[in-house]
Amino acid sequence: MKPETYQLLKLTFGVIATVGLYTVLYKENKFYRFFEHVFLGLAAGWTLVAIWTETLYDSWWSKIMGSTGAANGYWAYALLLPIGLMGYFVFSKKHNWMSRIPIGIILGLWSGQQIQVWWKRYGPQLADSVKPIFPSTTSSFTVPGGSKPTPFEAAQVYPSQAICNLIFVITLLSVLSYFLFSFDLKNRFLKNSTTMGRWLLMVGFGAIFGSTVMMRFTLLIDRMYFIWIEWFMHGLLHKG
Amino acid sequence: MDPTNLSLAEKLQSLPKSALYIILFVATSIPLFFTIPIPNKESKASIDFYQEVQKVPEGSTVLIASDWTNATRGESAGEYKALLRILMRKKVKFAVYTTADPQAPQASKDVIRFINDERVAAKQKPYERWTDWVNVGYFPNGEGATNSIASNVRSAFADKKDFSPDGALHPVMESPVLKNIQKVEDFPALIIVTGSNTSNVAIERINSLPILLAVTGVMGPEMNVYYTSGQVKGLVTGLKGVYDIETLMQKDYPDQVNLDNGAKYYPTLHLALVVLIVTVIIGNLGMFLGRKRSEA
Repeated sequence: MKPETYQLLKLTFGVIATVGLYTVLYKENKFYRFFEHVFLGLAAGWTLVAIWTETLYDSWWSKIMGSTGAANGYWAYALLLPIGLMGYFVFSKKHNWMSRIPIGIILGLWSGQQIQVWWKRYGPQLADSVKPIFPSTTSSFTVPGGSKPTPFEAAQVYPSQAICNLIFVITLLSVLSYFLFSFDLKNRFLKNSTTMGRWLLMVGFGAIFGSTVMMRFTLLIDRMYFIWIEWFMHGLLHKG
Repeated sequence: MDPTNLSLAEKLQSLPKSALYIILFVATSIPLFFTIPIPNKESKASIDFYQEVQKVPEGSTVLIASDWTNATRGESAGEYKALLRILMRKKVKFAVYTTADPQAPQASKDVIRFINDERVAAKQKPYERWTDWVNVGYFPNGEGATNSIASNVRSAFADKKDFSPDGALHPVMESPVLKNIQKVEDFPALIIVTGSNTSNVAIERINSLPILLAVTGVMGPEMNVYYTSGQVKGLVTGLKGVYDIETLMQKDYPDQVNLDNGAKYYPTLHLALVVLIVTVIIGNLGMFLGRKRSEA
């Protein structure tokens, strides 16, 4: 088969699968179910092969078997298999205690990382949350543009930055106050603060939702590009 | 209920779903056939991403986490193409790994082949596997693998192999791309192109080299926190980010192919958003009229 013919067949199958999956928008149907199962089967098969060829074969099997010269003597790696298989005893009422051994190992590894993980993730954010809310200069309202600022200029807090920082600090404190669930909030200031925190959270969720909608649209546009441009124009009509 | 007996408010609130889907399909198809320039002001996060990539010295090797598959091709492929075009033009080598999905290495290889075909068509030297770039492959445990890369990258990649020009598999650490890398700090940057939370996993474990992120639109608001705190040095978000990078490239490389997915999809996204806004207004108008009628 010519490479061009193979390429066109591949694209055509992709288009049929895409259209098949979109038919669910009309209603649940066998065409959709077929391609859903094709997709699931392909993904599962691909994953199995990839895990074996890209990880297990070189990092585990070859070392046990000594098939990579420099890596002999790893016979003890064979013990990992029964430990891993113990995880499947979670389905047995009588022996499910055995599944706790691999789960415990995984939990231990996970827990051991958490202090470092937490600090690396949130430490810089905590430090960055301490922002100056008073300007240190009034020579310009906004950060001067143009040439590269000197270190002294870069260290200044301009009024526009101070306003942004103030908005940030108010948002941070009001949203934090929203999560004060341990006692009844009778203080009027705290009540207003929690209300504002809730509203600001809604603004944040709105931004996330807006981004999500744009992303989903982009995925649809990409599928339309695949059908109309890659398959129809380039593949079928040989244009562009 | 007989549709002819419906009031205007009821009609506005009961537009047939199939009609809306057809309008959306048409709106997301027709603009793809035309070149529609859209004015753009690049975001600071995108400019920082671009400038950080430009700072990478020629001949050095960057580490790329290509953690995306066809599921986010609409955004991630555009980000990845733009990134690879810049790296190849600057003659920067790259090593690609993934902790996200077994399909991710194939998605990455497809894009590299696409860009290489483009270079050949433009009579430029294609980027050679093994000498210019290397595929480190898939790591199934993202957290453990990233920890391992942070603490001892040679050990983490020791079992990984890629094809050398003789057609056989050899350890990636022997390749010209990685042979001088002793520790993760030897990479001038870690660039993560992702459609999942692998960016979080990397930020939580690696802080000894600059991290640059190219993420999907839905991840943007969350990842922006890392950008403002300085944990990542540059951030490209979704289709807007792709278009930002493409327009920035257009200024620096005016004679080469720069405008791709971003420029092709961005006008279409605008039309799709117009459709969305109009339908939201129609639905709300119907609700408003319906309430007014029931109050009367």
